[in-house]
Order: sequence, then structure tokens, then C-alpha cells
Amino acid sequence: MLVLPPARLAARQQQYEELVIPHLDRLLAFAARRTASLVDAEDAVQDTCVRAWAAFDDLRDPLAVRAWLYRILRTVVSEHLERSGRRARLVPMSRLEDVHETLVATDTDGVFQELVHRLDREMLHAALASIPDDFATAVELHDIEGFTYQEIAEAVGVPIGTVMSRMSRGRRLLTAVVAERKQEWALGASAAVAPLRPPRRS
Amino acid sequence: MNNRSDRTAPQTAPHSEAERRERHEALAGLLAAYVDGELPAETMAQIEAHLLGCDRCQREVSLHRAVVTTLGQTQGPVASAAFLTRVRQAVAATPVPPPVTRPAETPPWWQQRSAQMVLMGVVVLVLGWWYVAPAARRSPSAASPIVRDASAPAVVVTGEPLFDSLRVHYEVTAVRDLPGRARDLETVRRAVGMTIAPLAVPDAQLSGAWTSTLDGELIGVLAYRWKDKLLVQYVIPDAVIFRSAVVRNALAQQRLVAAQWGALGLLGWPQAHGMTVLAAPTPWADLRSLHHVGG
Repeated sequence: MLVLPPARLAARQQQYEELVIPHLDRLLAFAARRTASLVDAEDAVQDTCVRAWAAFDDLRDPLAVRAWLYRILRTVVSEHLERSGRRARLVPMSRLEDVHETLVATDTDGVFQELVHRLDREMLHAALASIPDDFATAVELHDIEGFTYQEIAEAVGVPIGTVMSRMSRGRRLLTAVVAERKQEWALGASAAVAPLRPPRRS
Repeated sequence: MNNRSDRTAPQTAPHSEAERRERHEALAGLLAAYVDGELPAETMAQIEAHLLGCDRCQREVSLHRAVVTTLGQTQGPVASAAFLTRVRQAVAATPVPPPVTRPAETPPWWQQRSAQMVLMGVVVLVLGWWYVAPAARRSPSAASPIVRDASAPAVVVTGEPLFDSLRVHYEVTAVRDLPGRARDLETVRRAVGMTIAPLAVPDAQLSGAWTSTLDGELIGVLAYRWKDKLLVQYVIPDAVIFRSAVVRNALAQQRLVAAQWGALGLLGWPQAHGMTVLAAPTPWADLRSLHHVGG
């Protein structure tokens, strides 16, 4: 065990508090969207914080702390999901690509217009769980967490061109998932006779 | 992002239907980045011009904007004070790990003067031994004192400083990202200057190799995924071993050295130079099966 002199340990702790703790809420929100419960999300974030503390000396650039923390969190969540054997049930991508093409090609059934105007968070959060995690992560980091493409590239460890592609395909897949469930969300020509909202799942 | 050089968008005005289609395909893939303002100004202008005549791309842009706007209103849970306290306590209970020593860039060993001298010395010694002691090389008693028998008796140590340091190192390694990849093994070998033979068992996959320090000496550290556990192999130089009377004596008696801290088991044996110690969250006796395939 490395025993730091008290002054150095205190400085390390202070820097950790200033750099890491302010991100706790956002890390928790990101983890909560990927785990079965808030308890699981808290466990994942706690594990992330412990790993971040152990590896704190590896953080060369304090400005890159956010991307660094999300990188650790993604690893932790992935390990948790592997251990619990829980993986999201994904919708086949090729089918979604076809749905998207149909959606943007024409708007004969009114689904496109309704989707643009009535899209809500509940629809999108349900859709995020149905698309591959690489795409969902890119979209979430940008659209929810406010990362730039460059920051996403650093957090995920891929070139910026890949981020661009994942953003594009990720949003297409999301809207395709919603469009595919148009009856569930009462979108399109059948909206007049269908219930406006599906019954809430407990 | 407006200062980025524009290498993504077509540069000339399209003429034929095929060119227009090709241009459409190229720009359609950039619409998300366009909505997010992540493209150079020139490309942004090209897309705006394209959008004027392309209903499909207009619809696609509308979808991107709808997703951005909607997801942007997302609010997540807020960390409670109790959770914050829990995190702080967990962090406070985590020891600060020793710094990972990255091996410096060194020339290949055969280009190093010291290595050349050592090599020449070894050649002279081998030739001398070959001519002077022909009987000795056939004698079983002249065999290396390395413990090769996996069932050899083990000395189980408690509170021994060397093994205690390895326990702490293992616990720290287990909670952090592994610092190296298997391809670093050759670099580690050169840095440590010892034979490092990775475990050769099908269910132990080498996932990292790096150097660290123990008692002021450089050691090799190899991490494996073994039965879904983290197995760490430490390759320790003689200089460290011989500081510990318990370990030194055990190895001199052809014994393995073992330790158990809760779930964590450690098992060590000597190499031609130095010693290998395995550590994994398992009874140390389970590590015997890896002994005969170790270095």
C-alpha cells in the first residue's frame, strides 16, 4: 500500500472532491437509464467513484474528467450487466433501417408529422433501451449530457468520424423504434380512434 | 467546429442524376452533425443549399431536431445526501495504489552493451561447463533447484511482509482499470530483465502486462481472466525474495509458499531467477493446478 504523506493525501482528496463529486448526479442519471433500478445505478456509480479514486493519478488533464468518468462508468455498467446476465432486448437493426426509410420517404399516413410534433421523453427513453448501446450512448451523451462530438470520442474511445456515424444512425433508429410502435403510441391515421396514451406500466 | 478543414462534403456542383444521388447520399449521412453544429461552415452551407430541394433530407433534419429537443428536457435522479456519504466512505476506505511504472523506451536488448557483455559471458561459461564437467550435466543432482512439482509441500505464511504487499497490490489492481495489454509483455520482459513465462492454460486469458514496484524493486505483473476471476501473476526478482527469511528458507527447502487472506489466495514458487506468485480470489490450493504451467 502506498502511504502518502498527510498533506499530499489531503490535496489528492480535495482535487478528487472538486473534479469528481460535481458529476455524481449526471453519472447517476446515465447509470439509471442502463440498470434495472436506482439501487443498481447507485452501486454502479459508487464503484465508478472508487475506481476513479484508485486511478486518479492516471487523469492527466482535469478538463477531460467528465469523459474519463463516463468511460469508467460504461465499463462498470457493462460488467454489472454481464454479471447479472441482464441485457436489453434489442430490435433488429435492419428492420429499423427500413422503417426509417419509409418514415422519411413519404408521409401518407401522417405518422411522420405526428411523430415530429408529439415525440416525448417517455417514447424516446423506451426506444433508447431497444437500440444497441453504442448508438444509445452516443445520442445520450450528446442530447442529454451535452457532450461535444470530441468529448464523446474521448469518453467512448472511438474516432470522431465514428461518433458522427453513431449519432446519425442512433437518432434514426430511435425514431424508427417509435414509428414501429405507432399503434402503442397512437400515432398516425388511427390516432383519432386509438387511445391517446398507452396505459402506464407499473 | 467551424475551423475544421472540410474533407467530408463533395466540392463540385452536381450535374447528372447519378452525381446528384451521390451528393445526396454523402450529405444525408452528415445531417445529425449538421443539426448539432459539428460541421465546418462550408459543409453547413452546402447542406443548407441541398435541403432547399430535398424533402427527404428536410424530414430527416426535422426528426433529428425533434429528438434533440425532446431528450434535452430529460431530468435524471439526484444523488441523495445518504448516497453521497456512502460514496465518500467507500472512497476513503480505498487505499491509494502504488504508482504504475511504465517501462521507458529502450533499444532492443541485443543492442544494449550490457546485454552483449552478459551474452558473451554466458557463452564462455556454457562452453567451459560443457568441456570441464561432462559428468555433471548428466547427474540428476545437478538439476536446477526450481520447484517443478505441483504437489510439493507448501509453507503457508501469515503476516509475511512480501506476501502482504502482494495482497494489497492485488486488491488495488482489482478495483482499477488494468494499465496494460498483453502486447506489452515483451516490453515488460525487457524492463524487468527476467524470464517471464505467461501461464499456458486454456481457461486463463492474459489481458494485461505491466511493471510495478515492490520494496523498491521492479516487478512484472501479468493479469489474466481465469474462471471469470482476476488472476494476477507476479514475477519478483531475487533481490526482493532474499530480504524475506521465511520465503527464502521455504524456497531453499524446495517448498511452495502460500498465503490466504479471506477469499484471496496466493501461491508462489521459485524460477531460475526470482519467483512467481499467483494471486486470485480462491483458496490457494486451487492455484496448484496452475503451477506446472507457470514460469
